[in-house]
Amino acid sequence: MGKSILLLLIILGACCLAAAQNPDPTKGTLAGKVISAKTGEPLPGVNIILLGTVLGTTTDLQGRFYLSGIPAGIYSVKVSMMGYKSQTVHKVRIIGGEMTVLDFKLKGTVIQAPAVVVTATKRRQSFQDSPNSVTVITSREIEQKNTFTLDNVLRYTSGVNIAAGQVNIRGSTGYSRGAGSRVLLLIDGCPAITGDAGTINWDALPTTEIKRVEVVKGAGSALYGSNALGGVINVITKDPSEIPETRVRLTYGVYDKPIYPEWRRWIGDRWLTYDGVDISHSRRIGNLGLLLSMGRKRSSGYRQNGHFIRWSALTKLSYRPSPQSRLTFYCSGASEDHGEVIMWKVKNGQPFPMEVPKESIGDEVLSQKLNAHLTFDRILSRKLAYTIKPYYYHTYWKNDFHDNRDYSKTHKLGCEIRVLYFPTEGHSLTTGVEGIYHKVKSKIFGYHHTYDLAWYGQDEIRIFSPLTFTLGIRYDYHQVDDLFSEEQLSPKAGLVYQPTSSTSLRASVGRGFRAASVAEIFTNTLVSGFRVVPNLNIRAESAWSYEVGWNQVLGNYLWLDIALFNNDYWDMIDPEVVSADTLRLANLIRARIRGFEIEFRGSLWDRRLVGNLGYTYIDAKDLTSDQVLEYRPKHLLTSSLTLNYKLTLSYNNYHLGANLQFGADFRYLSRLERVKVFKLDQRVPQYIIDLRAVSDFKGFVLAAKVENLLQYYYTEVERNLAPPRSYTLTLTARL
Amino acid sequence: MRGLPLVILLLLVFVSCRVEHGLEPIRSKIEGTIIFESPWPRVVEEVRVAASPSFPPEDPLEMILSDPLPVDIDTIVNPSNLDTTLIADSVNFVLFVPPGDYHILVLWKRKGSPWDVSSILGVYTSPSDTTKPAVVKVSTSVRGVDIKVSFPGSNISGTIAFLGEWPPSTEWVRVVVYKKIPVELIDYYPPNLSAFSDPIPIGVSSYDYILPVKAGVYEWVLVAWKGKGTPLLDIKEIGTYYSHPDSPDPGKVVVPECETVTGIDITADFSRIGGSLSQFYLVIEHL
Repeated sequence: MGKSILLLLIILGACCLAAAQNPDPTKGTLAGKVISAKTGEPLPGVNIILLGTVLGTTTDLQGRFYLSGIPAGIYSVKVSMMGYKSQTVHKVRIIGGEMTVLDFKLKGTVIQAPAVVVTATKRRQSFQDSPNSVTVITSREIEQKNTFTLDNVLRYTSGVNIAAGQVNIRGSTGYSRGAGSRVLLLIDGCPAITGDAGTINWDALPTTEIKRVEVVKGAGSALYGSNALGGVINVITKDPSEIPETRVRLTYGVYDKPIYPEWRRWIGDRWLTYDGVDISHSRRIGNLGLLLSMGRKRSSGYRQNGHFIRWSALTKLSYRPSPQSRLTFYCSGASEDHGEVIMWKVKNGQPFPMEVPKESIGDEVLSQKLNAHLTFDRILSRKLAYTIKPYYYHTYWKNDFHDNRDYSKTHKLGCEIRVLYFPTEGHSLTTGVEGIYHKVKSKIFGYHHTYDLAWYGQDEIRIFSPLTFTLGIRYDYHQVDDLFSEEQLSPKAGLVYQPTSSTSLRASVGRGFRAASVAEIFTNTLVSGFRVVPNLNIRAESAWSYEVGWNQVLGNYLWLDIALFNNDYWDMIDPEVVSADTLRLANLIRARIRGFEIEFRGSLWDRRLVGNLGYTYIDAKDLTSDQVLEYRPKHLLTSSLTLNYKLTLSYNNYHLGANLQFGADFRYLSRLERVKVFKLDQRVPQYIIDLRAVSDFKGFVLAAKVENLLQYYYTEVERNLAPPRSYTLTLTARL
Repeated sequence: MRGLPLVILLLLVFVSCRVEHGLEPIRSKIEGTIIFESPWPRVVEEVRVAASPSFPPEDPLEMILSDPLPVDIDTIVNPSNLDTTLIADSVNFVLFVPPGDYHILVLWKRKGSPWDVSSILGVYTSPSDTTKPAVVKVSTSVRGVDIKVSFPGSNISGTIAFLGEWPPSTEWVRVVVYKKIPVELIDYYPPNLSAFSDPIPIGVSSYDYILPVKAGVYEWVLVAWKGKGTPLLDIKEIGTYYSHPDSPDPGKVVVPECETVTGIDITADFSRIGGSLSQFYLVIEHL
């Protein structure tokens, strides 16, 4: 069987290659170069889109682009890139069998505004055309944060907060002790939610290979189905580079000692450290691009039993059998052994946040993850393209606790087929089908299968020049074993009005849902003297999400985004007391989360000083009990400031130049008004300041960082201390 | 770039400002002594002190608990004799709590059962008014929070339903408990006679009773009637507890330690009164 498949693939590949060798006389080529208007330097990574078509490309490291297979005709070509003013050239003639050359000089804007996003409507579009609030985190910003896992980067994203690994977009998820994320995580558009508990494993994502992260806020089930209740986070990985590159990154860090002697007793005189090494290589061989990455990270932990050791690897292959088609294979895996900290030690009411109860010392968890997907993109014509995307996600964990030996193994197998059609310029239709199968084999959850089938459709139409209307719907069928099935219909509608190139007004409404995870339905275990029992009557949560927003570029110095949002939730899943010592999860809560968000981005001194500030106000109410919703802070504030400086040293006609960067990141979360357990424990707001400095000299980058500069002690959830002050040094060599 | 020194200066000023560090060790505490006024039953697993903002506690998750009081339970309980003698009759405690107002309780946990916040042994009262729980205001350290506690006894409880008119000659009606069904005359006396209630109010048609007993097994729970001017021994059984309506034998009642057994309901029929002095034998014949 395997050999037959391999033979078939070879034959298909040969056909593709053969097709590529014979140029079509009805199709032409667009090529050119994009440079900076100010410096004349080539600009890599610039987006080139033929408006009203599925056709587009990006510039290489030399700023060159080459787009072949374009049907002869007249096009409008739009060129855009973050930090530069986009340009559109109309009436570009493409002649069959010939090459049309078009060069661009882009003027820099002082605003670091994202240019193109793909997640909001499942197609490439300008950021300002999106009917939803979208925040984009670039690879540069991820490198600046210099962190092992992506959740530490997301903490500084406006409207996002993390509660012990569970991500919240505008207060969506709260904290459910690892069961059921209300935010959908995608890797290159493929769901990366575990099949048993429905959660996100941040350690499965290598931060060094992320090109950008798109955070779409608000219910997104009309395109993405379950778990997209509060929003969608799409991690887009880097493509293999055009020029061979090897990168080695070494990291070493140390945690500062607690300032209180009572908290220092278990540490003694030693220092708690962490280190990591990442090696990656990327190159192109003809039409084949290759990216390989491996890494090892170790930490003694900043608290007792908080140690871990993690191995990870990533492979990405991209192949262009023809100008109209592209095949990409992605595979990443991680294996981790970490100590488990459920809660800190308490003695006669006195907390010892750096220690765990004596019986918990030595509790460990072994976990493994494997994530793979294959993406085949094919352009059939200037107006029609399709994508086929099979994916696989495997997770395994095993507890080695003093009182628990649970384990769980899951397999997720899915496939999405998507078609994109542009009937006319300014009108696009997207439709697709998706199927997902989960298999769970677990001591704590049992043996189970779930099946999901879905169809979705979306119509975006420019009614008249500045006004675009979007309508979408998705049908989901969800089956759990032979026990029960559910059907969900998730419509959405959006409106974007752009009276000028600097102004965008948007409004959207959409429905989201989250099917109960296998863990929530079938958990059968003993935890801290409480028995948790299954609940076969539990069903999906749902939400309606409403938003209006305004995006404005002000005088070329300031970029502003304001959004008002309201999310209504039904049947939210929460623990229910069955008897004095028995709990189960049930659909209990009707909730409403509303608020507003303001985000500024700006720069001064010709982008030498770049900053952003985001504030989110959240009014989260449990309408069932008429109380504040648990684990939702009322105020979130994030801010970053970066100073770029080019240092040049001269001595006897010898010049030495280095790029320096200094930065500070700040985040504030107001004190949680309500939590579920240990309600009398101290709770404080979060004030976290990080400082960073980077020196880039001839391919060597030395980065230093102080996290939690003020040595501020806080918790995100009860009796779990967040990391204290730490000092990190990273050396990256690009060869 | 002229603004660069200003930016750095602002950062330095900011950093040098007085810094809050968020969470910190709890400095405020409550200290006192728990004085045990009754023996430790075997069924007790641990005893803790708790601080609660409300009394009675509304939310079990809104309390601060001490560690189990440092009493060596294994040496307290003499395995050969349920009538134990305490080795330690008082224990000092300390409980760290954030500043605030609290009620201080003593809770106990039964072996094999989860924590139940209604299992309250005692609550701190002020010396001036021992009938109401006192609020302890904690800002730094509060000493002398002493609490006397007794473990709950065991009880039998139920409802007596009376049939017929109360005879005018009634002196008293009581609930009586025997360990074993009496065979000889001596069996009608202690120790086989384990407990009897206070007189039930005369004339009632039903009565809810609760009768303290020692933990154990009781074979005969009955309602006894005595007439005015009759000898003490001339009591009449007018109702017996049966576990099942069709059961020929009296219901056996098992009473665990520190627990109240409910539902021991008895129908008392005054028509069964009558007869001669040899009422004991009537009682035996009745059984």
